[in-house]
Amino acid sequence: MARALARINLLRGADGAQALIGIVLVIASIVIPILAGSAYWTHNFLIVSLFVSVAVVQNLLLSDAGQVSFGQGAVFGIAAYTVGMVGTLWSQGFVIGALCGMAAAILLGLLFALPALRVQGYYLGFVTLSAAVVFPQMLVALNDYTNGINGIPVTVPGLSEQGQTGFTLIALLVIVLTSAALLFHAAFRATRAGRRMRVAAASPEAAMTLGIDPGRLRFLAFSIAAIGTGIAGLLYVPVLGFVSPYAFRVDLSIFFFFSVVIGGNGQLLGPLIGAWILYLVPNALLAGWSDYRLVGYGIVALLIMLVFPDGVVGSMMDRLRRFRARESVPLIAMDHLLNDPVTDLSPPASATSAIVVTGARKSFGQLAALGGVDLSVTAGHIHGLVGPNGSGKTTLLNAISGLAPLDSGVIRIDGTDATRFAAHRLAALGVGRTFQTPRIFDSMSIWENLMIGADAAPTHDPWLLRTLARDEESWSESRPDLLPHAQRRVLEIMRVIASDAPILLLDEPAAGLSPEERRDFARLMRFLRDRLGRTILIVEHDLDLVWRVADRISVLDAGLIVAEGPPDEIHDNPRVRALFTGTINA
Amino acid sequence: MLELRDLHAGYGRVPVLRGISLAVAPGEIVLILGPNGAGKSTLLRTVGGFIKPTRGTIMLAGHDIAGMAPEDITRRGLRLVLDGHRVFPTLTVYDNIRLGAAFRGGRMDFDKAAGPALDMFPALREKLKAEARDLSGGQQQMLALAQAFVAQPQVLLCDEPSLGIALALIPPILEFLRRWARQGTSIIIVEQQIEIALGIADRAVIMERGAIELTGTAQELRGDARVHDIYLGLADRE
Repeated sequence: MARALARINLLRGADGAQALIGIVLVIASIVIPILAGSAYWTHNFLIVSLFVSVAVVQNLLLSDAGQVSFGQGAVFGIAAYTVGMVGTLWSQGFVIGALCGMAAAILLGLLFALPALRVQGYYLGFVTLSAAVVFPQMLVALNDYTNGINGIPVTVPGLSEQGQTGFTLIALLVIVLTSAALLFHAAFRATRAGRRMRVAAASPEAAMTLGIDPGRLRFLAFSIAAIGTGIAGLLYVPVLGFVSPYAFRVDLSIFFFFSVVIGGNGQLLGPLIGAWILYLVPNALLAGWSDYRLVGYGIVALLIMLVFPDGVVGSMMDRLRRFRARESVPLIAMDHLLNDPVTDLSPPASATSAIVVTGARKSFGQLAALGGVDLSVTAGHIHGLVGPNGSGKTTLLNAISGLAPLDSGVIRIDGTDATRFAAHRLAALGVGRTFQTPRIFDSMSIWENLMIGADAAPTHDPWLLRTLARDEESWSESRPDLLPHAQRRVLEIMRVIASDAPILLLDEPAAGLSPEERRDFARLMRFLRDRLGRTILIVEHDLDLVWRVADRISVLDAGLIVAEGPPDEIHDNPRVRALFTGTINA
Repeated sequence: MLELRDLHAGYGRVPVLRGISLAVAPGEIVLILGPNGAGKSTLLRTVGGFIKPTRGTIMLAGHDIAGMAPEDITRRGLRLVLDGHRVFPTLTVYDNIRLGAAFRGGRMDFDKAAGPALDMFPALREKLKAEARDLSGGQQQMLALAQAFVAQPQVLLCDEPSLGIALALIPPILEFLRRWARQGTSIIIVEQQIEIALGIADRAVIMERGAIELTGTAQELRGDARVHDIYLGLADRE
């Protein structure tokens, strides 16, 4: 975490800058009313700051982890209510009450994480929403324990006493909590877990091939959200001095969710701006027009979404980014990788098999994609896998990387039976891969896209990143969304190299590359094999390229290996000639 | 049929196209070459309406379509086939193809409209009832072309039709495009399989850093030593 804090570079990075602005706004919004002696505005901003800290962790949950929860209001409420029940009704005092409240919040938050392991998107939204709907009714129904609809008055002496300047301890605690939430979110994004969480949200499939278990990261996200929301719930009690079921209706959960969306999904400052607008406009500015409050609220929300389709902060950042865009997008070149004098030459690979597939069968409904494939890839070799469209090449790669389990057959990686391994366990065995459509994450910088590869490396300090160190600065400032298609492919190849995986599965890596890039790519393949000792299984339609770089080639047609051998030996095989001339059934 | 005059476009303040002028006659195939990042795909997307030009005109059959929405441009008879297999994954192959003609309304004779495309790609005919997501990557690319074919556009813009297609199928696909052009369609292709694509193109244009550097017939370009070396990548510098 300390390293991550140093990395966010508070002055330059957008996340760090937004967190700083947020902290300044939070402090100002509480300190100024206190100094001005306005109890009304002090109270309003204390409440809204607590809501901001809940929205900050909801932002992390929604945009970093991709988890839709409409139930955070219940987590907030259970923390607050437990303080009231244990602290006041059962006379245990605030401290014991707070400890119990925290435990209750974490328990409920993790209960939300359980369905998240099975269901996603709107389904998860409905599950959490039902908790938010039921929660206030439970408070009323269990009135023997909760004092029902009358609520519980809570006084916490000490926290709310004003000092000579008008400051209270609780005001200080609220400032610290909200600032800490913002700082935490900025720092978390720069950590390994933070990057991996965003990858798992954007493409669970690609995440697993990078050794990430998406379920664990969802659990982590719900835990962080529960802790942040729980603490805010505890502090809510002394700020308001009263808890009642009315305060924790489903509207509160929706409020937290909308704060993130209105402010700008994924923007550090978004939840603060969103919560301020949604809370202050109806509750403070339109307080005198209480009859029209809901109408005003609706109009404000509608106008904001029309003017700022990506949320207030999101749309502003988008405009800023376009305005400040560099003259050109950096080009991802392979040149200085290839010119790197690698000193640690790997020992010559012995003739062991890195990948052995036997009797692989896989059907999709009636269609047999693989009809009993045997394939053996020697360690330290480049092995080409060619064949017509729809012959099962990608299906075989998916099976070897654990994304599509075989119906029958055995897959061994370096002698280990990995047939039933999930994709992230195969990644741990040292299998890395790229996809036909490159999985590039546009919300991260180009450098961060490489870092996700490095995060999967056992040493966390892979050769590739050291070699590219001089590009770190410019690639950290550019996003990959403007990269041409072929450059995205190169970036994905670089990422899998950064993972230091000894076995690489490449799915049509040269598609769309220019002739010059193809030449560089061929050099890169040989470099990886000869200098870094990697084993490469390459699926590619550019047969000239495959014949130039591969040590061995397997030809797949209609789910069966129809030819196999070194390039010059099988070149005259009729099944291979057919591939070049087009008489093979496609 | 299609005429671009002094076309400028970019992303935010990043200029990508710097004054492109190009005319394509009915039935003509123009091949666009150049290194990755030269702005080739951006040019197609700008003409297709997905990027608003900052300056210049795009004349389609005598009307300026610069700044129009993509769906309006499509209705006027321009079709854009992007790279990366853009088809509707949960619809069947049959429905995906029919959608190509949907905007014209009325009933269509499927066999007549799609016949030549299905003859070109027998794999699609075999899998008419399958969902598009069950096709391999290369077959999805074929489907995207077939869908564009039934739309019978006046102008077809094609970004790397060979992407993900088996080597043996590339010449027949390009030949298919040539026959398609003979029916009067103007075709612009961006393609990295340069040698094969030059064989069917009437003209080729070389783009670099957002501008047209050179234009000529396939024969002329092959003869130019500099072009030969740098752009066609025929010199072996490995």
